[in-house]
Amino acid sequence: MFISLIVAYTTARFRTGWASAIITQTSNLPLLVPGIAFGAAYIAYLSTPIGPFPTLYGTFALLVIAATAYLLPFSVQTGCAVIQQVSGELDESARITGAGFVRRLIGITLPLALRGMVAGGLLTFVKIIRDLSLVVLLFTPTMPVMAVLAYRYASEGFMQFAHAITVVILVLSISATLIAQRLQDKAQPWLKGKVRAGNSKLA
Amino acid sequence: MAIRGVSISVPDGAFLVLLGPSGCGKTTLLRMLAGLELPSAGQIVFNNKVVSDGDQKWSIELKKRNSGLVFQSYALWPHMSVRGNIEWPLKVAGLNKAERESRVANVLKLMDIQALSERYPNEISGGQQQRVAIARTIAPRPGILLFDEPLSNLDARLRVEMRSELMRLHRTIGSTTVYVTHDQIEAMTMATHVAVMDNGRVVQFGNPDDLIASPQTAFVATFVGTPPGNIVPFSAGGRVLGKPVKVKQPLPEPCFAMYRAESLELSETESPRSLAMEVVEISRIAGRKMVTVMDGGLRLTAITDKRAKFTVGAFVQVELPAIPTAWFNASGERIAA
Repeated sequence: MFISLIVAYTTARFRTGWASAIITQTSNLPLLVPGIAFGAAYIAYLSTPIGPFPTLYGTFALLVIAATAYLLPFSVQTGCAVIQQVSGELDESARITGAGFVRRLIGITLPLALRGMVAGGLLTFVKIIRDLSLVVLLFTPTMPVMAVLAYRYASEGFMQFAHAITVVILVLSISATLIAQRLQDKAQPWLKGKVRAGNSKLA
Repeated sequence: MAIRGVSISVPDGAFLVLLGPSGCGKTTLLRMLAGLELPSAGQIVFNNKVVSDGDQKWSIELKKRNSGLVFQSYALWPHMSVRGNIEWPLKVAGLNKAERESRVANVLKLMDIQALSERYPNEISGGQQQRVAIARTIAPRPGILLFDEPLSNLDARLRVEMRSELMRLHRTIGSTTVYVTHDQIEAMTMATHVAVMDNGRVVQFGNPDDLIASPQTAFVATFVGTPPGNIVPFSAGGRVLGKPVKVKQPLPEPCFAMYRAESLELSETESPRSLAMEVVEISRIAGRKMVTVMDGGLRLTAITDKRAKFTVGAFVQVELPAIPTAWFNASGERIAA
């Protein structure tokens, strides 16, 4: 999500020019590759040690790297939407005070983008937690992934086990959504302003 | 190119209004002054110091530019309270806490919004947001204040109120102010200097009285004044809308005559200098009647004291005076009398 925020900010701010076009197109590439091919590619790529990095096959790190790359288009798209909302005059009015890029990112852009970023992060989390095609090749018996586990139980005839895991996935997705919503309300008091404004008008 | 050949300068403490229809380049010019955009050629100088140089593709850092801009949409940061909004630019400027607090208290009082200091922008009305935006801009004490159509989102009554408020503010803090608007009433009431812009150019630069007294182009004549001047097209041979009119033309080719609304007479009887036109609008202004008449594409406004009843949809004779206020040639430039 952080990578995508940077990508999104760059492309949203500098909408014209070949560089931003290339970045946008590159970030959309994983969308064209089937998940299973993506998994296979990452196994081939990282199953031998590269320089100082150890073999990553079968580790959690490999899953994270592959998933990050796989989900990049989604997070970039949500990131773009968020940043486009925030940038423009809100950013310009900060620029004019003389604030530098980092200062504006921390003071203005990030707090305003938080809600959208959490939503974007959630979207990708819910997508990967029930994803099968990418992880089916990457998982190992020492690191079972729920979607794969459910698939194996189902194919071996343990229907009840498969259903149980599906329910777990469902509960996780739903509770993640709810928790994120609660967090947003607490972290962003200005969003509740409408109610308070209504009250003060009555008073 | 949005802006061409603009060369104007105003003294320190002036209130310059950039006036023009939408899309004429006035906002682009303001953004260049603010340092948000770089001119492709030419220089911008504040206080004998070059701040932007388009020929060298150089612009001074925004931090050192010492200018403040009030946006049309106010652009308040929604996640900060009114106090936070005003204080943030001061934090950026590196002021200490005591100094920040005294400045915030000062501008809150100046804009009469002390009661709102802990509210968030979406909890206050548009007019109040406007005040906060102005407070935020003046708190760092910029040497030059820029306004981008600040009153266009307010309702008519509030707009009149804020107009006098802004003039009071200008008198109090005395910063050089550049104000962009398409509303000529704002320009005429507030400005010390007005630059009328059309199509990326400044077509006339002067004080409000000059603009009304002697418009240099037909465009300026139709754009300023309440109501604005009437422009009547004369074809070669002294015809208006095909009818011969007894008015002496300065040029044999087609040209435009300007008549002030108060110089047009409305009557029932036809004369050698009258045009039969349809009444399309009547409004009452301070005991007088402002009557708008139309014929084809020509639209004229007359102000009359007459008791005579005019009805919308009826035809009336519009009597043109023998000598118009000004003549303009076919391309709209003034012809010397």
